[in-house]
Amino acid sequence: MKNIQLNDYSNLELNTIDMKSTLEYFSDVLALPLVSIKWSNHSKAAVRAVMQLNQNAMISFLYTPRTSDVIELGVTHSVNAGDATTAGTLQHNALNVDSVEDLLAMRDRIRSCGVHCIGPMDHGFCQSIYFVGPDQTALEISALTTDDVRQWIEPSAVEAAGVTQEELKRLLDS
Amino acid sequence: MKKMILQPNGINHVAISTSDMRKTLLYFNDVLGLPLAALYWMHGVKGTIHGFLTINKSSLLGFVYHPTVGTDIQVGKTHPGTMDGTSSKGTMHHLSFNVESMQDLANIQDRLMAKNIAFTIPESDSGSIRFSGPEGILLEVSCKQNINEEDLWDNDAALSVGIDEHSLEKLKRPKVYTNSSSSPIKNTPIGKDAGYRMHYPPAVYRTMISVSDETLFNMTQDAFPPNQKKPFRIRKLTATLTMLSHMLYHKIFNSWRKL
Repeated sequence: MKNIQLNDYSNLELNTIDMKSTLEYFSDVLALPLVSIKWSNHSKAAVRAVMQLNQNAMISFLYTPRTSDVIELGVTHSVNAGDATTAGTLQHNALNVDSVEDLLAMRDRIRSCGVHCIGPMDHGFCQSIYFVGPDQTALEISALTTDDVRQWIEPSAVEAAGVTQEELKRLLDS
Repeated sequence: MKKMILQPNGINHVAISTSDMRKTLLYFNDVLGLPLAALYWMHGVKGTIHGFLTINKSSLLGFVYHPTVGTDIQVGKTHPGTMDGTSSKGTMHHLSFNVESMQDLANIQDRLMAKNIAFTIPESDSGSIRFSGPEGILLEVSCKQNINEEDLWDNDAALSVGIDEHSLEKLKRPKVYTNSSSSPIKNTPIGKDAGYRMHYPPAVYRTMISVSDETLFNMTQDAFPPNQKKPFRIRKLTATLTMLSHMLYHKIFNSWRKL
């Protein structure tokens, strides 16, 4: 389409009530470097920390004294991979590695930290490992194994989603 | 043993729950220009649809429609409501996409205006725009600006959340991973692990963390695109029987033990 050129994620920001433990997890378990920590622009009492994934994409955490510690499975968090949460909330977050070899090395690193890690599982266009992060976030790491993800457009799922053939064409053409 | 600098190098996909897959896909396609990558029945989760849009060759934006998805947006709990709001720990605050140039950012502004979607430009960062997406998702599009190194750090802010200078230096330089000669490393037994656990029923969970990775891989393999006929695979059948026998064992002998 058109003149719209998103080229990567810039940032996924998650809420936390324990910034130190959260950053230590992502540093020890996933080796992400901290690249910023400062007061939030919105409030002097809120702290925002940023960890780097690549030149564009970051994962950041926001602590405010007002942040709730209530976790309600099926509402705020999914019970497990694939389960429901409230519409518009994060169901899970999958980080990327470039090869199955790196995926297996990440599995070993995660397990060596005492964190249970399930997989790899083969989804056809990617292989994935699954584990849980701070504050019960459902985490995944995936390695794409094909360039042709579009083979996974399933006519019965398209129909069940209510997408018409005309809309499908639009979705594919952009 | 090989020392390696290994870390995830991007976001493969963020998966967001939706109660209306069609509307959500059309919004992100129409407003942000993301083309459809995949739309299929989620592997192993009955009645659930997984949809993906392409951002780049290794990043997708994912959505999950589950038949029991709730639609009750509770500001402060499920959603932050506004950029200066917050919601429960572990929930998403906002999602931001990258553009390469300020011209690309201006194009997005034009698109939003043409569609009557209100947006704001934060005072502190003229290189980003913020707006609300479907089902209360807070969205941002950013173009990287040059920031002075000293503007990235505030030791008082770090101290306020318990991070002293020593911890800060450690967090800036994560430990290099030493690849184990005994790969695959096994999952730590329950009770000696770090406590980050999934919520499967106990017998299922004990089975998942104790069977061989090969068994789980063979059982879950869905490597065939939807339009291809799935051949009968003896390895999948054997793996399934192995899993079931482990589950039965844990059900009988470990059901009294807490996870």
